[in-house]
Amino acid sequence: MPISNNFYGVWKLLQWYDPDLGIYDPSTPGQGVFYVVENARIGTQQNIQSSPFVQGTALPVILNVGGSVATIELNAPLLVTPSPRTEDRTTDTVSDGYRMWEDLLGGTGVTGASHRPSSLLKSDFTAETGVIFDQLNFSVDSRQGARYTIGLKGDANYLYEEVLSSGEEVPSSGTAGISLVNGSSVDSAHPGVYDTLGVAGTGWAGPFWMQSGRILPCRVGTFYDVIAKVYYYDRATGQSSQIKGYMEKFQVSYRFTTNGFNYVGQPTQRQILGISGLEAKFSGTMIWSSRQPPGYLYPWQAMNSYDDLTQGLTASQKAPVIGGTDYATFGGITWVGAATSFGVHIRNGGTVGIELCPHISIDQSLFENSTQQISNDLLRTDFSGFGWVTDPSPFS
Amino acid sequence: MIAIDGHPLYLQGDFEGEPEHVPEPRFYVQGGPRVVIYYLGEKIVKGRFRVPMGLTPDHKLDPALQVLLRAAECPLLDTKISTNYTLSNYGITAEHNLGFGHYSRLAYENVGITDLTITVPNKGAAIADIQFLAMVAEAEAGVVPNPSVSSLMRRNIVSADCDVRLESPQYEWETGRSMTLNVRNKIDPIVVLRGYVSTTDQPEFMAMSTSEIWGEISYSVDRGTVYDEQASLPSGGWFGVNLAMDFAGVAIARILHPIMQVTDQTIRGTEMMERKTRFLAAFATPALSYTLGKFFEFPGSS
Repeated sequence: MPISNNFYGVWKLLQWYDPDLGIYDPSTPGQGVFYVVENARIGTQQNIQSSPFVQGTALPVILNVGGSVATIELNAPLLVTPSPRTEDRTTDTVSDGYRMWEDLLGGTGVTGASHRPSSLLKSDFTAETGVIFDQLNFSVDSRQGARYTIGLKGDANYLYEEVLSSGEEVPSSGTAGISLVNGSSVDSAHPGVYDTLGVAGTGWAGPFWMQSGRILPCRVGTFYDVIAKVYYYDRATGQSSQIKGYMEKFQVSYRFTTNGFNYVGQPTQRQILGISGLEAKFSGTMIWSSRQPPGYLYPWQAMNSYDDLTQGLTASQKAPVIGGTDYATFGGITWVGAATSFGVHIRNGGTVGIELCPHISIDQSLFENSTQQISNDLLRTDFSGFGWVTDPSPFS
Repeated sequence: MIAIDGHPLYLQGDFEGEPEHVPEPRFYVQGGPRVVIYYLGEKIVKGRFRVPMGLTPDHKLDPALQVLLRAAECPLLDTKISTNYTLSNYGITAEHNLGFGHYSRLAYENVGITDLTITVPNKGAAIADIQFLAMVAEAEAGVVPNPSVSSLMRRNIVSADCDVRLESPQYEWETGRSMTLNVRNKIDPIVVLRGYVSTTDQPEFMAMSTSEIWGEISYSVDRGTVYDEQASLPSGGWFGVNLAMDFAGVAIARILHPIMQVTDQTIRGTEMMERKTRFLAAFATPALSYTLGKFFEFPGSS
């Protein structure tokens, strides 16, 4: 064949198959999920250092070979179809970034829930997942659309290629992992992105463009789909207020502390990994004529009350850190109430629909920064903050 | 025919002003090369049209042109264009795209004149070239007057009707042959995320940034003009107060401080020698409100 397509990713499907993780197409047992990804980075590393000793030569004759780890980073879009999206995989079969997030952190209609990477965020600490989270990220840009980034770390043997060769230290199925599949060679029930985006299990009889029930076209979710709000605690009213302005970009990111280790006497090179910490941040850019959130929400000098701004504390004085009765204890707190301090939702058929970052909700948060850029261009404020994630129950 | 704020307007040539969406194909690791996923960004109206500078029977500038020139002078004014276009939607983006969801004449609101060029050639009609940005009026349809019942008789303004002069130091460009006036406004459609349930894929609003005005005067020269130019046309820099470009006495563009660029004189063996005076406009205040009505004047019109 004079023209080859083997080396272009657009012809491939990224398949994630792992019954232990519960990530597979529930309508067709034995098949993995074919996620539509913008790009993916799948790698393995082992630590190697050249170790020169008093050895009579500068040549690298001795290498120090350490532990190994596998990394996976997946960038996937948020896709929109004419049918509203739902959290339920059995009815919402669009395998995009949102579905990937749902599959890995929660999901409905997916078996093996206790073995997801997110299960390590619970207190049982018993999961053998093969991979754990390194980062979770959702961003939406009014000009570029919405995108998910999910990063994972794991046992090097978890990756499919290694599974085939080693056959050990793998999840029980023996065929789990991420792999690339040629789109044209996928079985008729999974012919490619078309079925990935369409209705699962509708068969493959006849010309596909004539089949009823197929859902096309689809598009990337963007500014008119996503509803993004950030609330803050308004000291003047004691009530929730939405920060003013027009949001150009918004991002929620979770970074996990995943320091691996090896122990003396370990029979393999692979690192023992676990999640020892989680940092939740949000950030964005607003267009508005004044800084948002405004500066009076930042009484850093005294973390007590608004009035303490005028106390003029010197370096030898200690700032009162006990909260006042009328004001928030911390400077720059977002609104804490029945609703979350911010929300990112997708509009579904004209009403506020599903949450776009489910299962790991930030329930309280604090502004870290709001910096306005003043020039003769649009007045923009970059803001960011940290969140508290206090309730592990959403991971169940 | 289109209408500007309800005033009918003759066009010279086509009206280009269709809403555009700029679909962008997105390719992923997706199983094949066919396009199945698009990024559909904001819906925006970009357009252009040419208008002959028209004189009404009662010796006024065409009312629609007055609106356009005023809108170019101050884009913050609310300007509306009615068209004969009809469009409908298929519901692929935001629902309830009023103006698209039913067949009706499209009207554009929040019209921002991004570029205005008035050209008075040596021969032929004075022409205004207009480029604009706008949003589809979601709540109302366009209303275009019926020419048979409207008073639409016009006479084109030509170069013999026009004049250009510098008031201080006084200079008349007595051999002036043609002139051009340009206005460029930087207007951006602001596309942002929404904190509410959006029902449109149009930009949230239009925003104006900077505005620049410049022009050019062409005139024939011979050796006799050299002495005369010593006082009035320095080669570069600030060259006077109140340059007036007079369009048949019904529209006058006043540039308080013209900043002159170096004169360009091309000498060709067989053609009339022509010199070009190019200038940039400067005002005493950057505030639009103070210059509103003082850059473009329409004598005889209320």
